Amino acid sequence: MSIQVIYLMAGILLFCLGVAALILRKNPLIQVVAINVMGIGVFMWFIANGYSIDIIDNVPHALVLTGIVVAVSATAFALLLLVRIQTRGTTSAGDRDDV
Amino acid sequence: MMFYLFDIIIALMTIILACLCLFSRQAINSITYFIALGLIVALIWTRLGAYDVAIAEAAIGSGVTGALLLFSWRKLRAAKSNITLTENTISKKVIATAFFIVVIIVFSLSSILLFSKPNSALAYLVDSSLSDSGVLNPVTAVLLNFRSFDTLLEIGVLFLAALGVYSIGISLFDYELKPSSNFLLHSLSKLVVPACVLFGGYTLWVGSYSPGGAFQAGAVWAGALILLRLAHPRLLARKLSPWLLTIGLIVFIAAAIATFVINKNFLLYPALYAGKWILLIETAAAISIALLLYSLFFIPKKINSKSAANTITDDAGESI
Amino acid sequence: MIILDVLTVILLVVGLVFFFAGSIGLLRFPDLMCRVHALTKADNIGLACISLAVAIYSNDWLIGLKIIFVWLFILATSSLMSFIIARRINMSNKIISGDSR
Repeated sequence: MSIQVIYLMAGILLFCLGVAALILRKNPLIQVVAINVMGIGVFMWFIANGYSIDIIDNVPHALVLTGIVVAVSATAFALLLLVRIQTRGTTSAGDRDDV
Repeated sequence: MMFYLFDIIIALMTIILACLCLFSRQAINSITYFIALGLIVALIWTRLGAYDVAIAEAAIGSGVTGALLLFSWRKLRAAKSNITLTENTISKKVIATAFFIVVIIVFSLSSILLFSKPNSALAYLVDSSLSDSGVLNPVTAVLLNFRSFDTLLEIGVLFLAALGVYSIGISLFDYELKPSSNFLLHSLSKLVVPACVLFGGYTLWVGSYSPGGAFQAGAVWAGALILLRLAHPRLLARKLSPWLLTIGLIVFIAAAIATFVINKNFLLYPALYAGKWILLIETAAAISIALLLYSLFFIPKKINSKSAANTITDDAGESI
Repeated sequence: MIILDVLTVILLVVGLVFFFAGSIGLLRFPDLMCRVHALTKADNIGLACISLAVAIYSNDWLIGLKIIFVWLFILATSSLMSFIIARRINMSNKIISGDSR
């Protein structure tokens, strides 16, 4: 039971919790949050794998940095799709840009 | 065991926060717990020695994602109809989820217990090649020299997301505050925006030899731009120049073609000037990332549209 | 020196107490305005204590100066943010109670 194992297990638990919430919750906004929590779990697994007492591996850090930016891009697009579907493209204030 | 007390407490706190986040009744509670979860996770990255990831998680993972979630929650709350998803019976779902979770836990625990020695061969490789890469920060070296294709495609993915957001056609924030209430945001922007611009520039420069880099700088600049847009809506109401949006990709691809011409290999920088090439690509990438993250929030309206000059009431009919 | 370490620990504990008090206020106060007030005041002082502790522990005047600047910046922005939140609460209270001023 070293520091690395603690965070490895925490990452797996976060991923499992995210999967469970993705299946069990019906609110689409909470499902998007659940996907992000799954992402955080995977990142924790990556970075905990790169940690040891003598030397810290930096390649997982770069991969996780890329992963964070890709996750935020996907989240933004998913949220825009969700808002567009549920508001039918109309906003209650201002013009509607006809697409 | 006492030596790991701090880590056990923080890991437990993360799990409890994630449970609160994912299984709370209302969506706004979920979003707030998620923002807090992002910040605690940034603390964990600092604990595990991943300083660049910590800055990026706090800025992008918790800041930008939290703002996106809050803006879309606000829009969804005002929506008249909600899509109801198809209902499976609750017991089938619970059984499926439990089975899936048990499988994941069994596989992962067995892999931890059997293969718990860290594989740090890559770490020694990076260490030994660090002097050839032109920078002193190993994460920047890996991101922009050893695995530069991944970074190129990552900026491409961000650009694709911004294209998708533009083509959907609605923006997450499309009203303006009344000028009389705006003085607070004016003061906040006078304080925060110059500091953020300075801090972003510093982070970009210092990424060569210290934790930092293009993504963190771009995220901080994006935050400053969003605050500027909220406080002074007419300042940034015009269409963003597409050249500025794509300058990161353009410079990166131009560098790839140039290195192919020079060195017969894409993105193999000339040996003596690798640091300068990396700085050039990072600067263009940071500008691009800032504008792309900003454009995930705000779609420019037509210049002569009616709503550009109103004092607009907010979604529920209250004036702000 | 041992006295600096003791001072660091004392300041950390005091800051922790302030943050704890602010969080208890957030959970237990009845009204939104009270919660914002308690949270902002307690968090600002707690942050002052903890940043002073870190500045003392670092043994380097340059790092300490940077931390003091960070504290001042967070003080300014969090006070402004709590003003914005409180003003919004005030306005929605007026709308709910029908006060049209």
